[in-house]
Amino acid sequence: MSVKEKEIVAALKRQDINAVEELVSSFGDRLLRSAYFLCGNKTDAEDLVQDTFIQAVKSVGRFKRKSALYTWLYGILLNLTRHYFRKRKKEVSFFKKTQKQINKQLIPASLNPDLQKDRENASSVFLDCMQTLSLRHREILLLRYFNEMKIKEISSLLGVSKGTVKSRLFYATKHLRKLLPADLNLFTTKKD
Amino acid sequence: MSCRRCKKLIEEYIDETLSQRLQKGIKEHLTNCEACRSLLEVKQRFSNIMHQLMSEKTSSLKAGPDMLDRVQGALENDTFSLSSYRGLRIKFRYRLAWGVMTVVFLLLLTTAYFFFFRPGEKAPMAKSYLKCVATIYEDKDQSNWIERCLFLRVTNGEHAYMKIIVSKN
Repeated sequence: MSVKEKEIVAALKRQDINAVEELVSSFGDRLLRSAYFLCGNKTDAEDLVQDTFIQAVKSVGRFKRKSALYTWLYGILLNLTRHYFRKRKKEVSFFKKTQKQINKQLIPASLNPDLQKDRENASSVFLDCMQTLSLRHREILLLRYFNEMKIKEISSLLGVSKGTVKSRLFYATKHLRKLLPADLNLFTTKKD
Repeated sequence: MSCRRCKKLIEEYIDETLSQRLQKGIKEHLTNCEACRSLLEVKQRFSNIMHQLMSEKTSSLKAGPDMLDRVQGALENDTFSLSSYRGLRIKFRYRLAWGVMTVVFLLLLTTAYFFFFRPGEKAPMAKSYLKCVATIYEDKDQSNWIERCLFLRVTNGEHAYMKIIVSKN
Protein backbone atom coordinates (compact mmCIF):
# COMPACT_ATOMS: atom_id res chain seq x y z
CA MET A 1 0.00 0.00 0.00
CA SER A 2 1.25 3.47 -0.82
CA VAL A 3 1.67 6.16 1.78
CA LYS A 4 -1.33 8.06 0.41
CA GLU A 5 -3.56 5.00 0.66
CA LYS A 6 -2.48 4.41 4.25
CA GLU A 7 -3.31 8.01 5.07
CA ILE A 8 -6.76 7.67 3.52
CA VAL A 9 -7.49 4.50 5.48
CA ALA A 10 -6.28 6.08 8.71
CA ALA A 11 -8.38 9.19 8.05
CA LEU A 12 -11.50 7.09 7.38
CA LYS A 13 -10.99 5.23 10.63
CA ARG A 14 -10.58 8.56 12.43
CA GLN A 15 -13.87 9.73 10.82
CA ASP A 16 -12.09 12.59 9.17
CA ILE A 17 -14.58 14.67 7.17
CA ASN A 18 -12.20 15.04 4.24
CA ALA A 19 -11.44 11.32 4.03
CA VAL A 20 -14.47 10.45 1.89
CA GLU A 21 -13.68 13.26 -0.52
CA GLU A 22 -10.11 12.04 -0.79
CA LEU A 23 -11.29 8.48 -1.38
CA VAL A 24 -13.70 9.46 -4.15
CA SER A 25 -11.26 11.78 -5.88
CA SER A 26 -8.46 9.17 -5.79
CA PHE A 27 -10.39 6.14 -6.98
CA GLY A 28 -13.68 7.37 -8.40
CA ASP A 29 -12.65 7.60 -12.04
CA ARG A 30 -10.99 4.19 -12.18
CA LEU A 31 -13.83 2.45 -10.42
CA LEU A 32 -16.42 4.12 -12.62
CA ARG A 33 -14.64 3.03 -15.80
CA SER A 34 -14.35 -0.54 -14.51
CA ALA A 35 -18.01 -0.57 -13.47
CA TYR A 36 -18.97 0.73 -16.93
CA PHE A 37 -17.35 -2.28 -18.58
CA LEU A 38 -18.97 -4.62 -16.13
CA CYS A 39 -22.54 -3.43 -16.43
CA GLY A 40 -22.57 -1.71 -19.82
CA ASN A 41 -24.19 1.60 -19.01
CA LYS A 42 -23.19 4.76 -17.21
CA THR A 43 -26.20 5.08 -14.91
CA ASP A 44 -25.85 1.65 -13.39
CA ALA A 45 -22.09 2.08 -13.21
CA GLU A 46 -22.51 5.27 -11.15
CA ASP A 47 -24.92 3.51 -8.79
CA LEU A 48 -22.50 0.64 -8.34
CA VAL A 49 -19.57 2.94 -7.65
CA GLN A 50 -21.65 4.95 -5.17
CA ASP A 51 -22.59 1.76 -3.32
CA THR A 52 -18.95 0.65 -3.41
CA PHE A 53 -17.79 3.80 -1.64
CA ILE A 54 -20.58 3.59 0.92
CA GLN A 55 -19.76 -0.02 1.65
CA ALA A 56 -16.05 0.81 1.87
CA VAL A 57 -16.64 3.61 4.37
CA LYS A 58 -18.88 1.37 6.48
CA SER A 59 -16.48 -1.52 6.56
CA VAL A 60 -13.10 0.23 6.63
CA GLY A 61 -12.60 -1.31 10.06
CA ARG A 62 -12.44 -4.72 8.42
CA PHE A 63 -9.81 -3.70 5.89
CA LYS A 64 -6.73 -5.63 6.91
CA ARG A 65 -4.23 -3.88 4.61
CA LYS A 66 -3.14 -7.17 3.05
CA SER A 67 -3.76 -5.71 -0.40
CA ALA A 68 -3.71 -2.31 -2.02
CA LEU A 69 -6.67 -0.07 -1.23
CA TYR A 70 -7.78 -0.04 -4.87
CA THR A 71 -7.73 -3.85 -4.97
CA TRP A 72 -9.96 -3.95 -1.90
CA LEU A 73 -12.35 -1.39 -3.41
CA TYR A 74 -12.40 -3.34 -6.63
CA GLY A 75 -13.28 -6.50 -4.70
CA ILE A 76 -16.27 -4.69 -3.20
CA LEU A 77 -17.28 -3.45 -6.65
CA LEU A 78 -17.12 -6.99 -8.05
CA ASN A 79 -19.28 -8.38 -5.26
CA LEU A 80 -21.83 -5.62 -5.71
CA THR A 81 -21.88 -6.17 -9.47
CA ARG A 82 -22.52 -9.87 -9.04
CA HIS A 83 -25.29 -9.09 -6.58
CA TYR A 84 -26.67 -6.54 -9.04
CA PHE A 85 -26.89 -9.08 -11.84
CA ARG A 86 -28.31 -11.79 -9.61
CA LYS A 87 -30.97 -9.41 -8.41
CA ARG A 88 -31.87 -8.22 -11.82
CA LYS A 89 -31.62 -11.70 -13.35
CA LYS A 90 -31.09 -10.03 -16.63
CA GLU A 91 -27.61 -11.13 -17.39
CA VAL A 92 -28.52 -14.18 -19.43
CA SER A 93 -31.22 -12.48 -21.47
CA PHE A 94 -29.00 -9.42 -21.86
CA PHE A 95 -26.19 -11.61 -23.09
CA LYS A 96 -28.32 -13.34 -25.70
CA LYS A 97 -29.98 -10.16 -26.89
CA THR A 98 -26.79 -8.28 -27.29
CA GLN A 99 -25.15 -11.17 -29.09
CA LYS A 100 -27.95 -11.11 -31.68
CA GLN A 101 -27.47 -7.39 -32.07
CA ILE A 102 -23.76 -7.87 -32.59
CA ASN A 103 -24.36 -10.46 -35.26
CA LYS A 104 -26.61 -8.14 -37.17
CA GLN A 105 -24.49 -5.09 -36.68
CA LEU A 106 -22.37 -4.05 -39.57
CA ILE A 107 -18.94 -4.49 -38.18
CA PRO A 108 -16.55 -2.31 -40.17
CA ALA A 109 -14.90 -4.32 -42.89
CA SER A 110 -11.58 -2.78 -42.25
CA LEU A 111 -10.17 -1.46 -39.02
CA ASN A 112 -6.63 -0.44 -38.41
CA PRO A 113 -6.01 -0.03 -34.71
CA ASP A 114 -3.06 2.19 -35.46
CA LEU A 115 -5.30 4.88 -36.91
CA GLN A 116 -7.13 7.20 -34.52
CA LYS A 117 -10.43 7.18 -36.43
CA ASP A 118 -10.47 3.46 -36.76
CA ARG A 119 -9.58 3.13 -33.11
CA GLU A 120 -12.68 5.04 -32.10
CA ASN A 121 -14.82 2.73 -34.17
CA ALA A 122 -12.94 -0.26 -32.85
CA SER A 123 -13.49 0.73 -29.24
CA SER A 124 -17.27 0.96 -29.80
CA VAL A 125 -17.31 -2.43 -31.46
CA PHE A 126 -15.12 -3.75 -28.73
CA LEU A 127 -17.45 -2.52 -25.99
CA ASP A 128 -20.41 -4.18 -27.68
CA CYS A 129 -18.43 -7.41 -27.91
CA MET A 130 -17.50 -7.20 -24.24
CA GLN A 131 -21.15 -7.07 -23.28
CA THR A 132 -21.77 -10.42 -24.93
CA LEU A 133 -19.35 -12.10 -22.55
CA SER A 134 -20.41 -13.55 -19.24
CA LEU A 135 -19.68 -11.51 -16.13
CA ARG A 136 -16.82 -13.82 -15.20
CA HIS A 137 -15.07 -13.28 -18.52
CA ARG A 138 -15.64 -9.56 -18.43
CA GLU A 139 -14.12 -9.42 -14.95
CA ILE A 140 -11.03 -11.27 -16.11
CA LEU A 141 -10.50 -9.09 -19.17
CA LEU A 142 -11.04 -5.95 -17.13
CA LEU A 143 -8.59 -6.98 -14.44
CA ARG A 144 -5.97 -8.20 -16.89
CA TYR A 145 -6.07 -5.59 -19.64
CA PHE A 146 -7.69 -2.50 -18.19
CA ASN A 147 -6.35 -2.63 -14.65
CA GLU A 148 -3.17 -4.38 -15.88
CA MET A 149 -3.08 -6.73 -12.91
CA LYS A 150 -0.85 -9.76 -12.82
CA ILE A 151 -2.19 -13.31 -12.87
CA LYS A 152 -1.15 -13.76 -9.23
CA GLU A 153 -2.99 -10.60 -8.15
CA ILE A 154 -6.14 -11.55 -10.07
CA SER A 155 -6.04 -15.01 -8.53
CA SER A 156 -5.79 -13.49 -5.06
CA LEU A 157 -8.57 -10.96 -5.68
CA LEU A 158 -11.04 -13.42 -7.14
CA GLY A 159 -10.12 -16.21 -4.73
CA VAL A 160 -9.43 -18.74 -7.48
CA SER A 161 -6.31 -20.56 -8.60
CA LYS A 162 -3.93 -19.17 -11.20
CA GLY A 163 -4.94 -22.00 -13.50
CA THR A 164 -8.57 -20.90 -13.29
CA VAL A 165 -7.60 -17.33 -14.09
CA LYS A 166 -5.65 -18.42 -17.15
CA SER A 167 -8.45 -20.69 -18.23
CA ARG A 168 -11.05 -17.93 -18.01
CA LEU A 169 -8.69 -15.58 -19.83
CA PHE A 170 -8.25 -18.13 -22.58
CA TYR A 171 -11.98 -18.63 -23.09
CA ALA A 172 -12.74 -14.91 -22.88
CA THR A 173 -10.14 -14.23 -25.54
CA LYS A 174 -11.42 -17.08 -27.66
CA HIS A 175 -14.93 -15.66 -27.52
CA LEU A 176 -13.73 -12.19 -28.44
CA ARG A 177 -11.78 -13.61 -31.33
CA LYS A 178 -14.99 -14.83 -32.93
CA LEU A 179 -16.62 -11.42 -32.69
CA LEU A 180 -13.92 -8.86 -33.31
CA PRO A 181 -12.93 -8.01 -36.90
CA ALA A 182 -9.89 -9.86 -38.15
CA ASP A 183 -8.52 -6.59 -39.47
CA LEU A 184 -7.77 -5.51 -35.95
CA ASN A 185 -4.99 -8.09 -36.07
CA LEU A 186 -5.39 -8.65 -32.39
CA PHE A 187 -4.63 -12.31 -32.62
CA THR A 188 -1.77 -12.30 -35.07
CA THR A 189 1.60 -10.63 -35.14
CA LYS A 190 1.75 -7.24 -36.74
CA LYS A 191 2.62 -7.52 -40.41
CA ASP A 192 4.58 -4.77 -41.97
CA MET B 1 12.16 -26.12 -21.58
CA SER B 2 9.46 -27.53 -23.83
CA CYS B 3 7.04 -25.46 -25.88
CA ARG B 4 4.17 -26.84 -23.87
CA ARG B 5 5.70 -25.65 -20.60
CA CYS B 6 6.60 -22.32 -22.12
CA LYS B 7 3.04 -21.70 -23.32
CA LYS B 8 1.72 -22.65 -19.89
CA LEU B 9 3.95 -20.13 -18.15
CA ILE B 10 3.95 -17.38 -20.77
CA GLU B 11 1.48 -15.16 -18.87
CA GLU B 12 3.58 -15.29 -15.69
CA TYR B 13 6.66 -14.66 -17.80
CA ILE B 14 5.09 -11.44 -19.10
CA ASP B 15 4.24 -10.51 -15.49
CA GLU B 16 7.79 -11.34 -14.39
CA THR B 17 6.47 -13.27 -11.40
CA LEU B 18 8.35 -16.48 -12.10
CA SER B 19 11.50 -17.54 -10.30
CA GLN B 20 14.79 -16.40 -11.80
CA ARG B 21 15.51 -19.90 -13.02
CA LEU B 22 12.20 -20.17 -14.90
CA GLN B 23 12.44 -16.63 -16.30
CA LYS B 24 15.87 -17.42 -17.63
CA GLY B 25 14.72 -20.80 -18.99
CA ILE B 26 11.83 -19.28 -20.90
CA LYS B 27 14.00 -16.46 -22.19
CA GLU B 28 16.45 -19.00 -23.57
CA HIS B 29 13.64 -21.04 -25.09
CA LEU B 30 12.22 -17.95 -26.78
CA THR B 31 15.57 -17.25 -28.35
CA ASN B 32 15.42 -20.56 -30.15
CA CYS B 33 11.71 -21.13 -30.70
CA GLU B 34 9.95 -18.97 -33.28
CA ALA B 35 6.48 -20.31 -32.50
CA CYS B 36 6.69 -19.36 -28.83
CA ARG B 37 8.28 -16.04 -29.71
CA SER B 38 5.40 -15.34 -32.06
CA LEU B 39 2.92 -16.27 -29.33
CA LEU B 40 4.58 -13.83 -26.94
CA GLU B 41 4.39 -11.05 -29.52
CA VAL B 42 0.70 -11.75 -30.13
CA LYS B 43 -0.07 -11.68 -26.44
CA GLN B 44 1.81 -8.45 -25.89
CA ARG B 45 0.18 -6.82 -28.91
CA PHE B 46 -3.24 -8.01 -27.82
CA SER B 47 -2.65 -6.69 -24.31
CA ASN B 48 -1.55 -3.27 -25.58
CA ILE B 49 -4.45 -2.87 -27.98
CA MET B 50 -7.01 -4.09 -25.45
CA HIS B 51 -5.72 -1.59 -22.93
CA GLN B 52 -5.84 1.20 -25.51
CA LEU B 53 -9.36 0.33 -26.63
CA MET B 54 -10.66 0.09 -23.08
CA SER B 55 -8.95 3.28 -22.00
CA GLU B 56 -10.16 5.25 -25.02
CA LYS B 57 -13.73 4.13 -24.63
CA THR B 58 -13.85 5.30 -21.03
CA SER B 59 -11.48 8.26 -21.14
CA SER B 60 -14.39 10.70 -20.94
CA LEU B 61 -15.94 8.95 -17.94
CA LYS B 62 -15.19 10.80 -14.74
CA ALA B 63 -16.64 10.42 -11.27
CA GLY B 64 -16.93 14.18 -10.75
CA PRO B 65 -18.23 16.20 -7.78
CA ASP B 66 -21.67 14.73 -8.29
CA MET B 67 -20.40 11.34 -7.15
CA LEU B 68 -19.00 12.80 -3.94
CA ASP B 69 -22.32 14.55 -3.18
CA ARG B 70 -24.19 11.30 -3.71
CA VAL B 71 -21.87 9.31 -1.46
CA GLN B 72 -21.89 11.91 1.30
CA GLY B 73 -25.66 12.28 1.05
CA ALA B 74 -26.17 8.55 1.28
CA LEU B 75 -23.86 8.30 4.30
CA GLU B 76 -25.65 11.16 6.08
CA ASN B 77 -29.04 9.60 5.51
CA ASP B 78 -27.91 6.20 6.58
CA THR B 79 -28.35 5.39 10.30
CA PHE B 80 -25.15 3.41 10.28
CA SER B 81 -22.39 5.77 11.36
CA LEU B 82 -18.70 5.51 10.70
CA SER B 83 -17.92 4.59 14.27
CA SER B 84 -20.72 2.17 14.98
CA TYR B 85 -18.93 -0.95 13.85
CA ARG B 86 -17.54 -2.41 17.01
CA GLY B 87 -17.05 -5.64 18.77
CA LEU B 88 -17.40 -9.19 17.68
CA ARG B 89 -19.93 -10.15 15.07
CA ILE B 90 -20.20 -13.76 14.23
CA LYS B 91 -20.10 -13.77 10.49
CA PHE B 92 -20.05 -16.72 8.25
CA ARG B 93 -16.28 -16.72 8.07
CA TYR B 94 -16.00 -17.02 11.87
CA ARG B 95 -18.21 -20.09 12.00
CA LEU B 96 -15.34 -22.24 10.89
CA ALA B 97 -13.18 -20.98 13.76
CA TRP B 98 -15.99 -21.61 16.26
CA GLY B 99 -16.53 -25.04 14.81
CA VAL B 100 -12.87 -25.95 15.17
CA MET B 101 -12.79 -24.65 18.76
CA THR B 102 -15.87 -26.68 19.64
CA VAL B 103 -14.34 -29.85 18.21
CA VAL B 104 -11.09 -29.26 20.11
CA PHE B 105 -13.03 -28.65 23.34
CA LEU B 106 -15.01 -31.87 22.90
CA LEU B 107 -11.80 -33.78 22.21
CA LEU B 108 -10.27 -32.41 25.38
CA LEU B 109 -13.34 -33.38 27.37
CA THR B 110 -13.27 -36.89 25.92
CA THR B 111 -9.56 -37.21 26.65
CA ALA B 112 -10.05 -35.99 30.18
CA TYR B 113 -12.86 -38.48 30.69
CA PHE B 114 -10.79 -41.42 29.53
CA PHE B 115 -7.78 -40.37 31.51
CA PHE B 116 -9.48 -39.65 34.77
CA PHE B 117 -12.55 -41.85 34.70
CA ARG B 118 -11.14 -44.94 33.00
CA PRO B 119 -13.22 -47.96 33.90
CA GLY B 120 -11.43 -50.92 35.41
CA GLU B 121 -8.66 -48.95 36.85
CA LYS B 122 -8.63 -48.89 40.57
CA ALA B 123 -8.12 -45.47 41.83
CA PRO B 124 -5.74 -45.68 44.71
CA MET B 125 -7.70 -43.77 47.22
CA ALA B 126 -9.61 -40.59 46.74
CA LYS B 127 -11.19 -39.61 43.45
CA SER B 128 -10.04 -36.09 43.03
CA TYR B 129 -8.16 -35.76 39.81
CA LEU B 130 -7.06 -32.31 39.31
CA LYS B 131 -6.59 -31.19 42.83
CA CYS B 132 -4.50 -32.56 45.64
CA VAL B 133 -6.19 -34.75 48.09
CA ALA B 134 -4.70 -35.04 51.47
CA THR B 135 -5.37 -38.33 53.14
CA ILE B 136 -4.26 -38.93 56.52
CA TYR B 137 -3.36 -42.38 57.48
CA GLU B 138 -2.86 -43.39 60.95
CA ASP B 139 -0.25 -46.04 61.15
CA LYS B 140 -1.21 -48.03 64.13
CA ASP B 141 2.12 -49.66 64.34
CA GLN B 142 3.92 -46.48 64.34
CA SER B 143 1.66 -44.32 66.36
CA ASN B 144 4.26 -41.66 66.50
CA TRP B 145 4.02 -41.10 62.82
CA ILE B 146 1.42 -39.47 60.86
CA GLU B 147 1.73 -40.00 57.23
CA ARG B 148 0.31 -37.63 54.92
CA CYS B 149 0.02 -38.91 51.47
CA LEU B 150 -0.47 -36.43 48.83
CA PHE B 151 -2.03 -37.89 45.80
CA LEU B 152 -1.30 -36.16 42.61
CA ARG B 153 -2.80 -37.50 39.50
CA VAL B 154 -0.91 -36.19 36.56
CA THR B 155 -2.17 -36.17 33.03
CA ASN B 156 -0.17 -39.14 31.84
CA GLY B 157 -1.93 -41.37 34.32
CA GLU B 158 0.93 -41.91 36.63
CA HIS B 159 0.40 -41.57 40.28
CA ALA B 160 2.89 -39.61 42.16
CA TYR B 161 3.04 -40.04 45.85
CA MET B 162 4.70 -37.60 47.95
CA LYS B 163 4.98 -38.71 51.49
CA ILE B 164 5.57 -36.15 54.03
CA ILE B 165 6.38 -37.86 57.25
CA VAL B 166 5.98 -35.74 60.20
CA SER B 167 7.31 -36.83 63.46
CA LYS B 168 5.26 -36.27 66.47
CA ASN B 169 8.26 -35.70 68.42
